Amino acid sequence: MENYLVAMAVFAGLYALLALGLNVVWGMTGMINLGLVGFFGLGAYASALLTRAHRAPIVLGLAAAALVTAAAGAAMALTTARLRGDYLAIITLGFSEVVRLVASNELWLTNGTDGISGIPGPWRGRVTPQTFNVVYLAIVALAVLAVFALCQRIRSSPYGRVLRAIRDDDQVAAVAGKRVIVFKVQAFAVSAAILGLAGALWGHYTSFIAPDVFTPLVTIYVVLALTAGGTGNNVGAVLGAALVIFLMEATRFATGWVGMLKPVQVAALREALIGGALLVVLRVRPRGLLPERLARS
Amino acid sequence: MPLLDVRDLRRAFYGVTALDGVNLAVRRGTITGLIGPNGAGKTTLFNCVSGLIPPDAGRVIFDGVDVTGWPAHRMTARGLVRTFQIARGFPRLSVLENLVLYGARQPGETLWRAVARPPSVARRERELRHRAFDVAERLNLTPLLDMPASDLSGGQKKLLELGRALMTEPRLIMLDEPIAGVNPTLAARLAEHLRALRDAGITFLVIEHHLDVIARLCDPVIVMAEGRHLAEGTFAQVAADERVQAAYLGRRAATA
Repeated sequence: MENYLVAMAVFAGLYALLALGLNVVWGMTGMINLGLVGFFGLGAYASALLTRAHRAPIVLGLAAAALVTAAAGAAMALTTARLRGDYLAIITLGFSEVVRLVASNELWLTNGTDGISGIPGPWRGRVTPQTFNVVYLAIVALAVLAVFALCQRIRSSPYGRVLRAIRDDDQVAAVAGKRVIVFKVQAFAVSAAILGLAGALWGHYTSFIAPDVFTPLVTIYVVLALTAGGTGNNVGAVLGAALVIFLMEATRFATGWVGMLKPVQVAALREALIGGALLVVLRVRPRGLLPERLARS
Repeated sequence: MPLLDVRDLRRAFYGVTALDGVNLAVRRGTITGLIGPNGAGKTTLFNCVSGLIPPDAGRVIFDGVDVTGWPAHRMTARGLVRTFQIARGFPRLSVLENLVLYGARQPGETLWRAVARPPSVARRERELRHRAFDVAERLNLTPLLDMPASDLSGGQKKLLELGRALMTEPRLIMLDEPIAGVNPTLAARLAEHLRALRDAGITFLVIEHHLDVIARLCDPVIVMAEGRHLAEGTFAQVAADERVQAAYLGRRAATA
């Protein structure tokens, strides 16, 4: 049971990273990214391939994952510079599907749908699985703390003020003297790097990744986490991620108590319960559990 | 040499001509009015000059420098800033943030300095806040500084737009209907502000449909119609111009 709780805390931490990453680009800058699972997957594959096939140290794998996804994010922001709203949503969604399809079909690189197993984890095999779990939780907690501090610093800086201005009206932001495209590209890159880091940490924890880990459902859960926690609020992002993981796991037990259901029905009931719970949250707190607050003079 | 010199500016949207070779000049130290019937191309002219959309042809000379096709952020840095017809801005930023945002040369607007926070960031932030407090004082916005901009009344939003423009240390402010939707008392006060700022050395180009305000405030007045410069002079002169009357009211059908 303790192991289970620790594992859930690790997954909550990884979701917190995803929600923080999404918050940079959607919460602060107002750019939709419905393909965040693509960056998540890209980071996971980058680090897994580097550390498994090339025996690179895990730290290097994490750094490479962040760099590769940042570059992909910057490229995406540059190519979609003139698109807004719906169109950006479609393109980012398409990007994540492309990542998944490439991972499924380029056997020489990714081993296709069989996935990559045996991804190294820090001290895995040299300590008991219980100790590994706890050590990994500490690493993830540290990553969440560092990324949270980074996001808070960005948000409260003059730079973050420009991002929030772009979120409200990017034309007026240009008239205010800001080079909007530079901010958009950077925000997308920073966000993608955080998502990629989360992906890499995921792979090193579970030791196995495959294309079907990176489905659009992950994107939806993260968007829900941020919305329920409070779009624009970094604390809210972490809280929302914890809430979503809690709901996912709580419904696992709750549906266990209901008898006479086929497994398929249980799975459907779980998703319905998660959706219902989030609806209640947003009905009671329309701007999320912790709404974004205005800066005071 | 005029502060702003627009030469033969052209712009069409999908074959519909909005600007059909506009020539006009704004002299330094004036509050120049820009009037004309709906569809005359006034706002398109603003968009082309301020860098929001590029012109198809023609030249824009600002203070002796050819700035044709420059993007908006460079125009603002150069000293030309515009406001919007329907008060636009940053509803989820506070009034103070709206003002400070328009300040130039904040080193904390680069990513690495935002994270590393060298002392220059806080220093510039203090300067900009100080300037914002001054601007707010001048425009009677001080009690509203902590409010989100979305909570302001229509008139207060217009004042905030003017205040934001002032934060950029401008030489020319282009106002797109600053009086629209503003109550008469506030409108009179806004006009007072403009005159005082003109006396302090800022030049204005003002689009406005309230002709009584134009008559009291603007000299000269430029009339546009069908994408061109139609007439120019004092308000009395252009109001007496038959071509202007025809543009506003329509021509009497030629009868044989």
